[in-house]
Amino acid sequence: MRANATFAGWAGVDAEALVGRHFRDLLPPGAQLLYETRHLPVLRLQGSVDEVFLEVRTASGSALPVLVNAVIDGDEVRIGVLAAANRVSYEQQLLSTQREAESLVARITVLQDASAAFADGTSEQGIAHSLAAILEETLVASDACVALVGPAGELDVVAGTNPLEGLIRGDENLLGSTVVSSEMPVVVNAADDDAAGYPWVVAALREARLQTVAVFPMMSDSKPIGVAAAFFRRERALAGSETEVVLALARQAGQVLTRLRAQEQLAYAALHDQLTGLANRASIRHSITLALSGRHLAPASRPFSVMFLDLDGFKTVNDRLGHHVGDAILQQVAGRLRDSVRGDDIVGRYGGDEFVVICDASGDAAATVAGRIHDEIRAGFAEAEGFPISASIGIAVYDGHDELSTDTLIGAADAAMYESKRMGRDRTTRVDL
Amino acid sequence: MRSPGVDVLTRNNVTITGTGRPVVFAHGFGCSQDMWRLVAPHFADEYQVILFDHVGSGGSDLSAYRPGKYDSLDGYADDLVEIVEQLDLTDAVFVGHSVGSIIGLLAANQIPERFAKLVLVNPSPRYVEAEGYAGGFTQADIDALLDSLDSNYFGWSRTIAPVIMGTPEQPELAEELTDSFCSTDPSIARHFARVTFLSDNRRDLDEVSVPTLVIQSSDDVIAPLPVGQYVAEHIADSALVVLPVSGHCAHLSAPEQVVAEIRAFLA
Repeated sequence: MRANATFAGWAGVDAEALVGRHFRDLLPPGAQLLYETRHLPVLRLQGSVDEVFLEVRTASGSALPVLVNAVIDGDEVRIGVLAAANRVSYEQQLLSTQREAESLVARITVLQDASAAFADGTSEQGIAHSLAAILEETLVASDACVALVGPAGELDVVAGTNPLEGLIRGDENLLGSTVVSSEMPVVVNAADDDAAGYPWVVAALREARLQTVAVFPMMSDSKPIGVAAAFFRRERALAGSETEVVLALARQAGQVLTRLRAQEQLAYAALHDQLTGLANRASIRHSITLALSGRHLAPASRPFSVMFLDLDGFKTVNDRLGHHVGDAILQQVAGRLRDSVRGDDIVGRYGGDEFVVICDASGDAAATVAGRIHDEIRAGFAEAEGFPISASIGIAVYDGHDELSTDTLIGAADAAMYESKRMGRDRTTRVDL
Repeated sequence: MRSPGVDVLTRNNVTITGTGRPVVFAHGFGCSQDMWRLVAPHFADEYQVILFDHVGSGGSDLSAYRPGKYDSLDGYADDLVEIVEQLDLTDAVFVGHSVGSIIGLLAANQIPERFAKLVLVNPSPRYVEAEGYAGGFTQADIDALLDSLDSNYFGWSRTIAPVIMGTPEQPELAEELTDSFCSTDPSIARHFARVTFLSDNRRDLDEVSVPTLVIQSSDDVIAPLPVGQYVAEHIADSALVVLPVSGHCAHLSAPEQVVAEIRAFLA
């Protein structure tokens, strides 16, 4: 390098001291990276570069911002240097303000878009899916997934992809469950040494060619309802602002999910018997009405059977052994009924110890089911040893020809059941309408 | 991992000249396939020369850029694998510069059966220093680079539009270079810089199963000699050549020497 006195003065050295040195050596490392990877290639390919912004390290160690023009002249590179402190401070202020503004706008946009996406969501799956997608985009992750805490306290992935699935050999959900119980995010890197907190996760990351996994708690009303995880193929340290945004997103989603769950639970409760989990009376009537409406108008008549079932000997058990035992038996009966029916049949509890089975099928098919039910009930109940329990069943079969009301059909099945009771119990009576 | 229904040759602006054994060139950060113009043409007589641009650089399809995919070098490697498979290359030679060499190495680790030889020019598997490893830079240096990129964006198009061309007898060169440089989206460049200079691919060196030549400049501050030595040491079947050249772009500063070394390696 040969330099004039002005430049030497800026650099804080004698002009002679610069001879034999590379211009590049006057630049700090960050600037060297750009200089060598971009500006020099452009210079060599184009023959010149204009208005390149660099910083020159002076002898005193300070950084002098400069604008550089360079041109190849034969064997030489001629470099013109313009001291640029004023322009730099102006541009840097502009840049830093612009970046701050952009970052703020980006964060607000993410939260707004998320809010809209979550508000539109009508299902747990939909909300979780939106959250996973937003997470992936916001964090520039290669994958993201959302897992929710199930009834037994386990974490189930509800949306997104978990690239570590099946790869964590040791304690499956230690990472997830730790995040849930501590309500704090955790980041695990493939480069962590094995003695660190999650050796199984580290091994899985390496196997999956991932570098980092970040797991965040999803909070709703200060309770953790699940986790959101982001996976990266490059080692990442998340900035505080990034973590904040993610936790805010997760909280938003969490609140919507909680509301959805409450709605779903209400809807479920409205249609299901709380003790046995079977369809309740309202639900049964609704199902029958639905099946009957317009059926008589169909070109080919299709039979429809309704089965009423009463437990013989149940009242005695309830009175003598207590409601606790009685309830247990009802729950078992519910289970055995479920086991006895066919895939599409509907099982419900009509009241007390009265059950209903709806078979959208012929009376013969329903009779076969009734037979199975009798076998199941006759097998007895451990809690009520010595107390015989059986089933009195009435089947009303509608042939599908003429219009029929729900009440008529139910009434017929109920009457048939009473007939079974009158005839000696532990049997099925069938009536074709 | 694979992109169904995507025309990869258009996406990556793949150009092919010559016939014969395939030689694939990959550029690094800061430029495009143009940076091979002093080296690649020398092989078009006896080989099939294949050049391409990474997505976000040169004449590539910028709309194909997905931040999540390209947040690691694996995303770029996947693209190269797609190109090689699309062209059904076998017995291929790969020549990569700087981060392009690591991208090629990752691709070769995925489909080693298609690659016969690797040439890594000024490679570095990790730029930031680590325990027991002198990468050459600190995290702060990389942050300063990213700031520097932003500052240069203000003058980006001015830097690129050539006022005085070093080659007046080839005016079409001016358009070509302007277009290929200008089409880099500054935010993609910023992300690519972050990914390039913050990645750590040291472990991937151990998996290389293809004979490799490392070409190193004797005076390169970006990928210093110890880094080149590290690369050669960790690749099983490898050789290191140190050229008496200054700077990070041996293929631009001493193209004849680079051509000679590659020729010798392929012989």
